[in-house]
Amino acid sequence: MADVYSILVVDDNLLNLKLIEKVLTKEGYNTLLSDNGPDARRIAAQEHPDLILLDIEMPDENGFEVIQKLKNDPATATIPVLFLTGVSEVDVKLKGFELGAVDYIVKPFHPEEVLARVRIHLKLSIATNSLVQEQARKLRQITQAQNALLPRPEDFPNARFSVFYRPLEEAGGDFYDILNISNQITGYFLGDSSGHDIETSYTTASVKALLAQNCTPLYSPCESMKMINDVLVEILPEDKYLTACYMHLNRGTRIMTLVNAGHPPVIYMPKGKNPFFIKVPGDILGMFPDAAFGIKRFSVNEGDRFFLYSDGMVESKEKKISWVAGVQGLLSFFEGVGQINLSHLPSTLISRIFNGYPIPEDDIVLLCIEV
Amino acid sequence: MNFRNIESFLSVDTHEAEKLGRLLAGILTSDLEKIRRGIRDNDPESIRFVAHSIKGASGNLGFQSLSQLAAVMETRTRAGQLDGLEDLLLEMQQFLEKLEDSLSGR
Repeated sequence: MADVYSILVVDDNLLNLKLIEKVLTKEGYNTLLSDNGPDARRIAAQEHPDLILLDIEMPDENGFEVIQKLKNDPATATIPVLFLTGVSEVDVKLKGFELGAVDYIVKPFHPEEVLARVRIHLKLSIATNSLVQEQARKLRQITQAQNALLPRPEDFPNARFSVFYRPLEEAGGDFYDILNISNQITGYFLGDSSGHDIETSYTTASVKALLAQNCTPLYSPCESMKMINDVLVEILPEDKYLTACYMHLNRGTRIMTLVNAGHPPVIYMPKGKNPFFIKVPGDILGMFPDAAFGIKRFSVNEGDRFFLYSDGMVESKEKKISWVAGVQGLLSFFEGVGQINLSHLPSTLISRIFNGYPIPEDDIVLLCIEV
Repeated sequence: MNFRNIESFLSVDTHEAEKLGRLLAGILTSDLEKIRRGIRDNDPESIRFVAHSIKGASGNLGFQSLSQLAAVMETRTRAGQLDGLEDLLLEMQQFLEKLEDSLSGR
């Protein structure tokens, strides 16, 4: 059997209610009836009809108040509302539209007109819902594709890393990558692209491809980042950029090279010692052709740990805390984590920092690396 | 005024037309009483509200003459005028009586 569409009819005049009910039921629609605003809102929230026909001139709570409340309630906000009005003034019609109605029917009405308008708006509603479903499906595909781009620790055992990754929306602006440059050399990249939209997910894919092309034994870490920057400057829209941190670890020579592109400072915790920041300010990626990145090269020892993170871990727009201010108290959360197993580190630290679980204000990535 | 006008206007059978006609007669009886009260209490706003309701409901059943009477009453009371409402009320009352006659087979 085909879908039965339900229509809520709201009118304080019993005759109008009965008449519309008769017209609609004859055509196979299921009708819900209400002669006042508060009951209509309760029925709408409970039954979620496909459409509402709402009279404007009603005692106590008039149709304008009803539609306003319906649109303010998430449970009923998306239900299309057609208002019934006996007043032909433009102002009344405009007010109905401003409040969120999709159309109006002037009383007295002819049954055929009611049916025609109901049909067209049900069709529009169905089409809109299909579009929303399709967009949601595509966004889910993007999420899956983006997740597939993110390396898992078990796939890179020699890289010795663990990670916490949680995007704010389907298409995250933060991402990371692990690069097996040679048997002894691993690259760790963490980037934060401006925005969280679908365009951002294409940036992610582009940067991943650029990392694979340019982070090779032939180029120094700084050269790799400069070449990636040159391409991004060309391909990114004007208002798009990334902050990023690239760590190049040679486990053979035990030399770590850090390249910073406008990203929050890396935390370094030498084995058995207290953590501290490595601050090497530098320009962001993808904005300036002659960008100057912060670079630091230093010796490391087995068991030393590094922590790369995105600004979502320290920044709060709601609390008006910039990442520069947010990093001030960050080190205290890292004290005493030297003995914690690498695989448990991200969840332990996130739990400490957010006192349970992070509030979704931004994408969050925490990359924990052990030499 | 014959309730069977509803049959042709809405394409319903006689039984349905009679049910709707009886509903209109019942509502109209109550509405006309409200209008009388409004005239007595010098309350144009309450008359306007009732007239508006009659205008829509009677027009929806195809009774254009009653709908037009109600429209005139609505316009006058919106402007705060109560003059001449008794005449309009009388015509509405006559409409109601004819409708009731047709419903009772007279």
